[in-house]
Amino acid sequence: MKTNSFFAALYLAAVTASVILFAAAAGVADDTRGDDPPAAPENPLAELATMEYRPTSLVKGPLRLAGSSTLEQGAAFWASGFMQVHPEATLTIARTSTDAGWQALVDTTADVALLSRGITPAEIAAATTKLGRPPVIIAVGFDQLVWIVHEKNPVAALPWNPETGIIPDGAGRDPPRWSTWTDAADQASVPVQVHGSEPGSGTRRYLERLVGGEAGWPGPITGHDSITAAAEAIAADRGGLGLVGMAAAGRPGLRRVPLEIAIGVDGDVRGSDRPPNFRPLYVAVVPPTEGDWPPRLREFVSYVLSFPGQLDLAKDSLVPLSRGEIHAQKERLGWPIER
Amino acid sequence: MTMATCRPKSWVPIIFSNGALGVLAAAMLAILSGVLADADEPRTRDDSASGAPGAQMSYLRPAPARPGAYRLGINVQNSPVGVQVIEVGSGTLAKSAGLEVGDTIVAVGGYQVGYVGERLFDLGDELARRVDVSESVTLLVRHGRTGDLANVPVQFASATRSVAGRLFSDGKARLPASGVLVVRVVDVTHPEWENVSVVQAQFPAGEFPVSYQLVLPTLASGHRYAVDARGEHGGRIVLQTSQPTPLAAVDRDQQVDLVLTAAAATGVSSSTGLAPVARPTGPPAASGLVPVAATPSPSLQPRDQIDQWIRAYLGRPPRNFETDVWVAELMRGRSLSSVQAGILSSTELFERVSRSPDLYVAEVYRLLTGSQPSPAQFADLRKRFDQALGVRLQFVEGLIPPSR
Repeated sequence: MKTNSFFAALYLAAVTASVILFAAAAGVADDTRGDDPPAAPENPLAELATMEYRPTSLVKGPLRLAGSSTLEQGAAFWASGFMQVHPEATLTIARTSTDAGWQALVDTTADVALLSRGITPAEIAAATTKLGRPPVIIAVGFDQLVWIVHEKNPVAALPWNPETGIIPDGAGRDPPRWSTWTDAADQASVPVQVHGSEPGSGTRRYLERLVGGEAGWPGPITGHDSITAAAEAIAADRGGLGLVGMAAAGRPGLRRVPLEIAIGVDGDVRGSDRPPNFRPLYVAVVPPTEGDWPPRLREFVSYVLSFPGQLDLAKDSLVPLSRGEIHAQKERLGWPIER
Repeated sequence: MTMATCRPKSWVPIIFSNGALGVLAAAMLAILSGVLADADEPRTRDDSASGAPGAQMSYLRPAPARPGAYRLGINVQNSPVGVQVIEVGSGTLAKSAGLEVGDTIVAVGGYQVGYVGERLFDLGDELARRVDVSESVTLLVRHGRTGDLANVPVQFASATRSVAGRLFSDGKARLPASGVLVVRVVDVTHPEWENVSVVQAQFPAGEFPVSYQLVLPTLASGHRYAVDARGEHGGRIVLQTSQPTPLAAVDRDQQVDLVLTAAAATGVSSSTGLAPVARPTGPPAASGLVPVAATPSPSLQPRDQIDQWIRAYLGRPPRNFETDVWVAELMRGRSLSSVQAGILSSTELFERVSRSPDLYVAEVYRLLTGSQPSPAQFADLRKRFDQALGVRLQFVEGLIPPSR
């Protein structure tokens, strides 16, 4: 009897240990805590509703914003909301492009650069040399994008990984990649033609990076004045491919195609594990080398990283940051985290 | 595997050893605890949001309960192995619990904190999520000097402050059963900040008086705060307090009863954010060649009006939560006409006309008036667009009369 109890206890302990090890292994392998579902909450703003903007002081004076047209409307809402709380602050927005906005920050003709792509290490190094200190770049939201093809293109999915991208250049690549839709689906030798916005925009650079991977896309990309024009071109091009927002993807003559992500993505945004169809949007500022931040700049960034600032982006159909992403951006800014 | 040494009284020893194995064991414990806690404790507590049990959010439902209300009194830095303590305030909960600079908080209530993979699980959010009904929680802490792991119980009950009371009707005010009551604490340090809410909670409509409770986050010293309330239905404020009631102090619990009256009768200006949603009336804001008839239908509730604008201007039905976003904007004190301007100045509409300013100004005119602009009107519109430096929101706001 005692022996049976002993073995029963031993068996129970072994099963328990297996369960623990299995649960632990599963959790570690997935890089999750095993509790929260990886999907975004139902309403992305819901979890932010308690992150109110709490000004520390009333600020005044000019603040110059410049850069990406993707963020232009969000920035206009930011300006309006911020100036409601700080009526003597004057925000101006120069709608140019990510490249021009970054340059304006480096030239000190802008206080805040609006960016719709990541800034390269080379660009940061050049800016640091000129400014004497590195700009700080933080994520402020996302632009949810979808891949579109001609409606008669039967391709089911686009295989993708960060190194090789999704599109072949056809020659000398390992692994080999395809340059016509023939290789991906039953579409006889129709060349892949990528459509995007004009060069210089963050939207275009992001497309190039996703399409071509680390090496970049060596083939031609047809530039268009707007994403809508690119979508229309794809609707008229049997071999067309593009990356557009939800609104443009709903146009007639187009079909949405999912990405097949081969390996894990090393996220662009600290504190975030979103897939690459969530294009990060950033602002860049140049904080002081030492001492406190200029109050109006700090208040503005604090507003952007609050519920009303994120609500402003959602009003233009952009995707707000999650709570964790917001906390991570504040940490990136070097702001003390008091808990 | 060696036994961990016992920390001061508040530290509960656990069985894992120092070093990497201890970290793995701690991670296993944290993960398993998380799984079990998840099974035992569904996320219903999150529904209470920042208010008392039973509070509900109709438009936006915050996830973590009472964030900011539970503070240990430490400065931290997040890392992949947990949350590192870089400063401990004197006289704080952290101090009395035995936390020291160099310690790492690995888990809160069994849930890992810090960077887990690419995601950040914030200590403050986790404290708010994991405190139990007695406002206590257990931290798993790796001691900085010894590397030992220990469970550290923390009791917040005496450390939180709240504002509680009852909401009364003036006898005439009514709120439909599907409406909600919103109570908030606002920063009234400057007149410009009268709409700056620091914490708020929503409660279902019910028989008056309705009890409420708001747990206060840490509030800035030197600022002044007040509490107000309103009743909302269909995107419209139908009841409200006539003015915010100042809080006498923020370092102790307070009882504040509030009386709500019919919103239309209070006469509070729209800039307070507490006025009923006004409909644009009167002449266009800017004189000139462009007559604009932008009056919303008086028979529509604001929510329905927003739906209608999205369909009419963007040519599609509202997406998930799209209307909620705009209603949230209304509830934050913006007018219905500012919502209309926001939709008309959207990137989506600008994209639809291929980002052409000429086509855009003509399209906005057509959507507002139902007709194409004459050449003179077009020239005037184009001039206004340029005067707004191409900022579409500013351009459209100049065409739509402001709400009263």
